[in-house]
Amino acid sequence: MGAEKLDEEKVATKLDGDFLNPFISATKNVLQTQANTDLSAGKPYIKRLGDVDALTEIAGVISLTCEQFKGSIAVCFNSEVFLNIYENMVGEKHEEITEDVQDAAGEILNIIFGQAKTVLKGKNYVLERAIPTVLVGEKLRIRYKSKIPTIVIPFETKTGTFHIEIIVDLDN
Amino acid sequence: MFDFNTTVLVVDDMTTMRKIVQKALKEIGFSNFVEAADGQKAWEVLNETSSVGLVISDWNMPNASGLDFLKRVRSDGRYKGLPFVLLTAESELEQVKEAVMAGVDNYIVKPFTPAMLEQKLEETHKKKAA
Repeated sequence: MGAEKLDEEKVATKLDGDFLNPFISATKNVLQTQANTDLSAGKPYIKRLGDVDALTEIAGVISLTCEQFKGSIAVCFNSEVFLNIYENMVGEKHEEITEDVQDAAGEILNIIFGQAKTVLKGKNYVLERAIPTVLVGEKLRIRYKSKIPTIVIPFETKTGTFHIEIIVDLDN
Repeated sequence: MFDFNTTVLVVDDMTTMRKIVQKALKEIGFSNFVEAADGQKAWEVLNETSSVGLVISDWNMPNASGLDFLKRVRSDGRYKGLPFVLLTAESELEQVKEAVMAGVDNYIVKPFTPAMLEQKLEETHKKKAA
């Protein structure tokens, strides 16, 4: 069995439906409530190094730390989907992602994290408090060079697709 | 309901959330806002703006948190009756008890719609008027 296959099995063992479903529900709830954006979740899949990435131009990232594992979660957008959600949330139309609008990616993920954290606590995953960061440009490209398999959850909106991505540190 | 001409002080370290709150307040009927990015700056803005009649403040902020700001507001005789609504994440609900002890009037959990915020403000106004 190859090393990649073993890593995928480790990821799948650490992240079952019990862990993923609260993030799926929270993402739908946050986007529908705060951004008046209808969306549907696709089937989660594992992305390996070398797989073609969906275009991501901005991502909000938060570390995931609990007794069972360490890792991170990111919400990843292309500019069209991000700016449409931003317009729905804030009421301002922007043509490109500028510094003025970037913190929205962190805030969206922060609210999703807060909702999921509460549900996960009832399932014995006690996540530590964490502060979101926003990645654009070179920092975003570095994240995508990761060799660790990533769980991807796609979400479809009228404007296009965005993704939740969860990376688990397999050494922990 | 509150007098829509009153000035609302909106406090959050995230620019986006300050804009979301103001967008919702505009839909409810408010039109006068001042804002701050942390509890320390909020205290300065409050003292510089005599027309503030309502505060909506986030909890987790650098320098001085929403709770720090609330305690400072309530310890000053001029602001003992100032309506103060806390903006909180669902995972921070356990902390609301501490805010209630410190004199918060109400709280709203993110995410929220303008209708949800309006309901919270109506509750707050009734409580203050009672």
